[in-house]
Amino acid sequence: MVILEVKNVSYGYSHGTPFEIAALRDVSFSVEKGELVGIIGHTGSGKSTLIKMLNSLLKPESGQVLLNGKDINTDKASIKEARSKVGLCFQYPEYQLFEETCAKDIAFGPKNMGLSEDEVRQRVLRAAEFVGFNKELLNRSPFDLSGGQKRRCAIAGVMAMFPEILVLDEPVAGLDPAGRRELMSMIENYRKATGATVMIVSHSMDDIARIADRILVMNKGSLAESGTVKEIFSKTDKLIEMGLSVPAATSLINKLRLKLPELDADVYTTEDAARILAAFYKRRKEQ
Amino acid sequence: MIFMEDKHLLMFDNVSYAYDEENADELAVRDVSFTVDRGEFVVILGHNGSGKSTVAKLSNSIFLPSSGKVFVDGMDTADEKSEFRIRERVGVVFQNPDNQIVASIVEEDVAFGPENLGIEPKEIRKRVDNALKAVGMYDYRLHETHRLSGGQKQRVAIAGMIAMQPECIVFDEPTAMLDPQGRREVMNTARELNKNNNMAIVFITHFMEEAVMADKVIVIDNGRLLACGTPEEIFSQKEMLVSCGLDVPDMVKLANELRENGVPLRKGILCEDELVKEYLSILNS
Amino acid sequence: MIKDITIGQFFPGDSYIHKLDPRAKIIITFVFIVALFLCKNYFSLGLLFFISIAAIVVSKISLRVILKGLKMIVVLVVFTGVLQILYNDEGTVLWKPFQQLDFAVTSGGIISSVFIIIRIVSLILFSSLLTYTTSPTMLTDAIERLLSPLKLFKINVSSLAMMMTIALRFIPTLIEEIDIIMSAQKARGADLETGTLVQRAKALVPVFIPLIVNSFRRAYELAFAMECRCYTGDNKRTRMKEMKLALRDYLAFAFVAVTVAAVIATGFFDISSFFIFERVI
Repeated sequence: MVILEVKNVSYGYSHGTPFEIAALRDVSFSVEKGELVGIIGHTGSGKSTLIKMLNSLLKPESGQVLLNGKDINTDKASIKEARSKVGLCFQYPEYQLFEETCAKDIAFGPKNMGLSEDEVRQRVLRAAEFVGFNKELLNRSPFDLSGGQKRRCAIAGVMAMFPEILVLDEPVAGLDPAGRRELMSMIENYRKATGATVMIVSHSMDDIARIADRILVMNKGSLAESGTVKEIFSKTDKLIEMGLSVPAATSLINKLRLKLPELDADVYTTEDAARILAAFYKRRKEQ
Repeated sequence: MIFMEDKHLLMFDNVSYAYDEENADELAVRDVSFTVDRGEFVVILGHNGSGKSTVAKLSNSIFLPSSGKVFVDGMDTADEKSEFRIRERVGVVFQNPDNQIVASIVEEDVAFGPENLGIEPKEIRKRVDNALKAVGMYDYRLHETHRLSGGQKQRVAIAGMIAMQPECIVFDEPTAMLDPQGRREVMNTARELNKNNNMAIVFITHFMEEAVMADKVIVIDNGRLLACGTPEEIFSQKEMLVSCGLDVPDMVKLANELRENGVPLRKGILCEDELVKEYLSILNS
Repeated sequence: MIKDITIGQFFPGDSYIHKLDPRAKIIITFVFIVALFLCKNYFSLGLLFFISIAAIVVSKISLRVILKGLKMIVVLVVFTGVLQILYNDEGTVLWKPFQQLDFAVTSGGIISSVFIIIRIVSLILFSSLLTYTTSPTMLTDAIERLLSPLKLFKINVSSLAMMMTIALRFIPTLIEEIDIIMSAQKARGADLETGTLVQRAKALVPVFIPLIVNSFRRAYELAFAMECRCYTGDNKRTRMKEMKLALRDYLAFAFVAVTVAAVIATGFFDISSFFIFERVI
């Protein structure tokens, strides 16, 4: 079932001022309910402009954004609905924390949705659980937390709205390896538990290859490619042309295939690469 | 106590540092000792909040050790009289590119350091031009700083340090906020400065891949120096790295897994090219 | 809206005006503004307007930029223009729309309205040319030097100038930051646009608190970075760009002096094109 449909969306350029927003040119795609969509693209390719379209923070100059079949930019009510159903979490969300306690900060979104106090409290607790926050942390000031905790608190603030679509812009940027691993698995847990549709913007091809069902590739304001992990990362040359890359494992296999063309090309994670290369080695030695 | 030799440019001797003097138990850095030689490329790895950034600020007398000593080219950083000479010799580039650029125009920002040192205008001009050329930003010298990309801003910050003609630049997670292209730009600039200008580099990061080409890797966890060695030595200790929130580079992980699955790869493979070469050679042997 | 501001921006170039000593530019701009207020008739005003147009042509700043800068003040210009028409009842009555009201559009009203509009436009053109052609750092350097006599009164002029440099440098960064924070809070359902004044002021708390916290963090980090580059606040700094008055600066001074003399001189002749103009209407 299609939950989100972006139809021929275009958006102009604010040229000549210090604050150029990347343009969008005739972008169309749709997202199935429960899907995990990865969005990749060079800085300035229009990714950030695109995700701001999804909850009407920016309005398309032409084209439509349909949520459950309805145009989100119809009127005030439809915009309000889009804001609560499409949860948008920007890059470095920890810089937007403002409340006295983490619990209050996480409650900000649900409260704005006009939910009852009881419902808000329950949502805060549930969201906190997803990011591994206990009571003690919830009562602390968000400004006293470590960097990784702040990030998780801020993401919980969007999760607490329990949006049908959770959109995350570079959720693990700036975190160390352990922090990255933890946060990615928290997002996956959230998705499994709620059945929400998730869209993740990332510069890490490895992360995207590992988790995405489908990938959107943005380039110079247009949607350059859309497809499965396999469909996208088999086009190495095209990606490099757009200033992107392929997962480390794919790049390795590509290099080996120059000498060993019979090697299976369909490899996107280090685990798969290890499996395939070990099997290939054994077969060679048995011959 | 390590004895300072002439080749040592930077030396940490049993350094501890507490942010809060009253609460001396909570040390951000605890008994850390290491040296950086002239022209050496040292990478410091550590998770967020491990104390690695404190090390950067201790290296040019922004912070003074609570106990122990830091020496720069033989000068004690606690000696107020050498403060300027120390900061001339050891520059620091920080994480957030926006928060270290002072001026609105690229070349004026690069000139800021030399201007503070009271250098002659003509000499400043020369240094600024050379520094901008060294980081490949000369064509942008009249651009506005806030319009640059993250990687370009970091290169301007690096040029600002080069213009002070240091012997060592400490990079405090300069790539953490950048996209892959920006990371490459900064990494390549650091490498070129090391190679072409024989500048000592201390590169603090939590991207394992960036440690692969270092002369020496130092691992810091909870303010302590946990390990120090060549990249091969450090990355052969996967458990140790994972236990302190780090990891091994993808290619090391892959080589390890292959070895476990009966592919007799040699130890110490760190990057893609090495792995390709080794795999092909054992396949054909 | 806030993003369309071009006033205060700098457009690098190497025109005669770009090359003028920033101190000379500041003084000339100041004198020019005074002259604009001294002029009483269309002849002198026309002269000053012509000079500001000529200066723009010489500076090679694109017309688009200039017009964009003017767009910002359209409301102000129209407002003052209308006010002049409303309050000036000299000259012949041209149009009296409401018989019962004591109000009429008069020739004097139109003349003085046009006069004031040209005056404001020249003022904006000339003063924005100062920032268009001078980098912020050079501008603050120049102000620092012009204010240096204040050192006698124990005022730390160079720290003031440094503060100005940093403020100018961080304005775009902070505007961008406000935009991001507002977007993020709106994404969490914050309503920043509707409601009573009190409600809206309250709604801004989630924007201002992060902004202030982030600004402190930036200030803290910037302070470290400046220390690393040997800034102490009281050391004797040199400058990469020396300021030396050159022949072209003296030429500019001379030119401005003659213009001002012309403006004053025409003031003595009350024949002034003012009345000639009125007769035409």
